[in-house]
Order: sequence, then structure tokens, then C-alpha cells
Amino acid sequence: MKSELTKSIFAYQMREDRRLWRDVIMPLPENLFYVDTGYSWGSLQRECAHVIDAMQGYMQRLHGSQQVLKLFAKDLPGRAGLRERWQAVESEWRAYMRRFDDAEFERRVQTVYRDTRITAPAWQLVFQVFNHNTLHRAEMLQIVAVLTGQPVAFERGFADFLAERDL
Amino acid sequence: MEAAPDTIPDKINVDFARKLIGYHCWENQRVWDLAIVSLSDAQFSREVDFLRCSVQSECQRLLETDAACLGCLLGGANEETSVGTNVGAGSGNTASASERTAIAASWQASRRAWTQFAAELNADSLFSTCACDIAGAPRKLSAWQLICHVIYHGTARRSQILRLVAELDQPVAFDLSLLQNLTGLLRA
Repeated sequence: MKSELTKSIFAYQMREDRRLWRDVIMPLPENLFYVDTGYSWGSLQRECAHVIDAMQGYMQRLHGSQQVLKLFAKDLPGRAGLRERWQAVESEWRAYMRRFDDAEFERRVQTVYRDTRITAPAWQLVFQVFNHNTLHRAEMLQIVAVLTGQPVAFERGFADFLAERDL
Repeated sequence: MEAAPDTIPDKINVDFARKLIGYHCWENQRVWDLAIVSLSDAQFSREVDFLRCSVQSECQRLLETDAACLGCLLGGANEETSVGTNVGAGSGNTASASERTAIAASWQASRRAWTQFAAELNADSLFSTCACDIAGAPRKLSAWQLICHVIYHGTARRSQILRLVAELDQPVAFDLSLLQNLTGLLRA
């Protein structure tokens, strides 16, 4: 059951990520993607790069890497490039989640978090990514609100997702 | 609640749900203590133009969802529970001291109620079906599904509150992270 629960939340997270790109980020004039709004990561570009880095980093941790490599240490791609990278990392997550079972849920993972060596069950790293993406979707909507001067009605809750899926 | 399905989940499922609920309560408390307490009453209730909401209204929305979902989990269909959401409509005017005190009391009551719910959670209740009202339509969801709904709704609202605090006062000096709660590794 644990793995099924996790997979359903993953499906929700991926749908929200895709909706964000399709309905919010891509319709914006591209120049707004790079505007630093002065909060958190500043621009949509840097927010997206951070989320991709985090998704990639936790995937590396889940695969046993002791040294997480950042994708965007130097030059950041543009909007189209970041969307491609996001989709590529999402594909890695999809492949991982297809194999995700109850044994993987509880598998102990040794990794480094905030410069400290830790051992944690895989589910904690997976749910960290879910929570992190939720947090940064909210921040990106706030950035868009700054850029456009009005709030974006966007986020649909997990319960809404389940209800819609069952319709 | 209806009877649980045939599958009898193990203790790990309950521990897992308790950890998520514990995170939600812990993070709410940190946001209150480290970001909200220092705001003036005027800042607390001031609407930020581009977001069209205030810290007060976001706190109320978070409390309302938490209370409604807990009501469902405890057997009522979106009934207000003892954690209460009757804390004022958020007029946009400066919050009165009593309004803010009422929200603070509800914040603490919500935490206590969820903590108690987590302590009493068992394998059967985690998989039981709850009647609830989603977007104006009656639905039936598993308890664990509603719990996860509360967690992610809370994460989005907390993000919004911190953004509002940054506009009204200054950015907070902490970040929101599930893993730092689970591992105990707080960023200095």
C-alpha cells in the first residue's frame, strides 16, 4: 500500500508541475521569465533551475551517490532549455516510480544532507521532493503575481486531483 | 467513517502518517513563532496588492481546511470542529487584538487536535473512508488521502505566508523543509 500511496501523490505532483509549465510559465512573454523579483530565487528561471537541481539531486541520492552534483553551477539555460531539462528529470522520476514498491519505500539510503551524513528511508527523500516542488510551485506563482500584478488561481489540492481522477 | 478494507496495513503506515502530521504541526508552529508573531496587527491584516490576500486571511484559510478535513476524519462531513474557524472574516482592516488572539488560539487548538488525532491513529482508521465535500461536491476519500491533502495544502499556504511576511516586514531567516524536520537537521 505504501508504494501505491506514494505513486498516487507522485502522479498529483507531476500533474501540477505540468500544469504550471503549460498554463502559467509558457504563456508568459519570455522576457518575464528572467526578471529578478528579489525574493527567494528571484526569477522564474532560477526557481526552475533550483527545482530541477533538487529533483536531480534527490534522484542521485536515491541511487547511492554520496556527492550530489548540481546541474546548473554555471550558465543557466533559457526557458525552452530548462523545460527540456525539467522533462528529462521528470522522466527519470517516472522510471524510478514505476519500480517503486514497498521494499523501496523502506530501503535505508545513506547520503549527505546539509553537509551531514544521514541514513534515511527512501520515502523520506521522495516525500521531500514532493514537498519541495509544492513549495516552489507556490513561490513561482507568487513571482508571476509580482510580474503581472495579480494573483494566479492555480493550485489544485491533492483531494481535488483524486476527485477529478475518479470522475 | 466506513469500515476499513480487507488489507490490514502494518505499523509502518501509521508511523509514516504520524510523521507527516507531525511535520505539518511543527512547520505551522515555526511559521507562527518565527514569522507571524513579530508582525504588528496592521501588518497581520494588511492585504498585499499583487497577491490579494493577507497573513490573516491565509492563516484563516489554512485553519479552515485543517478544521474541515479533521472534521471529516473524525466522522463529520466538513463540520467545524472544536479547533474552530470562527475567527473573523478578514475584512482587510487592521485586525483587532481580539481577532488576532482568536486566530492564535485556533492555531494552537488546531495543533493540539491534529497531534491528538495522530496519537490515536491506528491502521484501521488510516484506511477508512471519509465523507467530505470537495469543490461543492460530496466525495469519499481514504483517511490517508485527506491527510496528504492537508500536508500539501499547508505547504502551499505556508509558502504564501512567508512571501507576505517578506513584503510586509522582511524575509524570514529560515526555510521550509520536510527533510529537516524528519532528520532534525535545521539550517542555522
